Amino acid sequence: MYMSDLDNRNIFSQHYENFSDGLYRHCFFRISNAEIAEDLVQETFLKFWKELHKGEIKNPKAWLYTAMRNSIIDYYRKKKTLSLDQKIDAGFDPENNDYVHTQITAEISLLMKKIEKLSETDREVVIMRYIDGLPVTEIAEIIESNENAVSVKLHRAVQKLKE
Amino acid sequence: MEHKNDKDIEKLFEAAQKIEMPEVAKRHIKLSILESVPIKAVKSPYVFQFRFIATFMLIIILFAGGGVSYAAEKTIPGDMLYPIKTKVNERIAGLLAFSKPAKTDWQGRLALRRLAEVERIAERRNMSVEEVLETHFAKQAERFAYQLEQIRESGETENLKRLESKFALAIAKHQSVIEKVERAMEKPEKTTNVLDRLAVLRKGGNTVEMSSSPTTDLYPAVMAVALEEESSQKDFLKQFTVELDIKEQYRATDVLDLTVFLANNTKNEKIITFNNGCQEFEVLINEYMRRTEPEILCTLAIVEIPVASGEIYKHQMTVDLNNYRTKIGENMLTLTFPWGVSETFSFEIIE
Repeated sequence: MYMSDLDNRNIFSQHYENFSDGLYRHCFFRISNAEIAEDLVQETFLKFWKELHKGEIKNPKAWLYTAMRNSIIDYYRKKKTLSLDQKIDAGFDPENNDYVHTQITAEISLLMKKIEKLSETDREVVIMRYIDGLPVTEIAEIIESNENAVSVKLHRAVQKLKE
Repeated sequence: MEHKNDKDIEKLFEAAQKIEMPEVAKRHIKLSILESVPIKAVKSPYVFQFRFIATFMLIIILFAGGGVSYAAEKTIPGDMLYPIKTKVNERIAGLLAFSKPAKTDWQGRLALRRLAEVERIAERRNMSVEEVLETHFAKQAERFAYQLEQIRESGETENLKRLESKFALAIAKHQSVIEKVERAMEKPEKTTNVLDRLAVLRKGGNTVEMSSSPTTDLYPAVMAVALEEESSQKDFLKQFTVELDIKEQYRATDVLDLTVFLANNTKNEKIITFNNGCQEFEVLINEYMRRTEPEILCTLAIVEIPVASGEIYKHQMTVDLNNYRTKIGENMLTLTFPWGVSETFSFEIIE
């Protein structure tokens, strides 16, 4: 289907308004860095914008989450990060850090510390389910797994969070 | 505080769901994508764009906040004006870095700005320099490394080399801090991360291999090249003039026609590379008064324009006011040029 530039702009704007905060939130909790989260959201939506010019995207939400997921994997691949524990040992305090914006409350910083202790795959599904609010079926599609496996992972991860 | 039951965890997730991307960043990202040139890659040397970001910052600061922003530049964490430095001055300057190389350059500059604060923080808080480096500097340097790595992977060797030599030179100015850290290398478990980050700035992104030999040997050659570039750029700036033509009154539905004249008074032809379009963002006038003003920031469209020696180039650009939140009364428009010249205009919106 032929889409004019104006159509693409409207589609882009609509999805940007719907999903940018969610993707940012997802990324923020995955990598514990507000500014890199902004960079990755920009990268993801730039890919989305280019993809729109190639043709229609069937499931934009899943597409965006998958693209964001790849950007995060890429991010981890390209660099070694300090774990939050190491940062805390070294004096990093998520509650009192200029780097992280002012929305960080004591609750959020506690959650960040807990999430940081999960394995990378557990963290991903927990954030998708309980912070992004994605249904299990969509999570399974994005991470290319099946619903049963996702449910098991979620159950296990939540138990760890409660520890 | 321990959260052991389901309700406590739910409460934490509810709090997390309220996190949103900062409004300024959200709008900036959207506009920068919509105003980018889709699909078609534009080859650009970016020379002016990232070399003079600091100049942008000073100019913009003068317009945006005057004395407060300027005074904030000398602060360190704990000072009352430090948030102005990091959240206003640096934020605005960061927004002006549109392209990947410009962004990378800005991240490198931020790392150097943090490095410049290290000794004073250590002194004030009675901490060791290496401790302060770890908490205050390493994360920013890490961000620079990430951006640099992306440039390396995209194969932009020209930009990579330029950034590498630039930061190798800049880091040399902080030799006293580096020496202190190197002396502390007897305790490698404490300093490895910091040294890795310093190595990033020195060597352009090589985070894995850290040479233990002094890197000062590298500097003289790099410095000579950089200084030569620096002085020819300054001469160039002096000889390049800009004039603009803008009316005093517009309607909120008008399309502004801006005419820009560029006169090349140098002896050689110059290729001018411009950035993209207009964007709207909030300028935080005073953090304590929480007063923000919308401002339209325009750069010129992405094109490469050869301007022969002695020639005047006339450039037309338009700003569709329908796209911005102009209000009746006085509005501000800032036009910046990739080589560091910036002009701000007041114009009146009439009914």
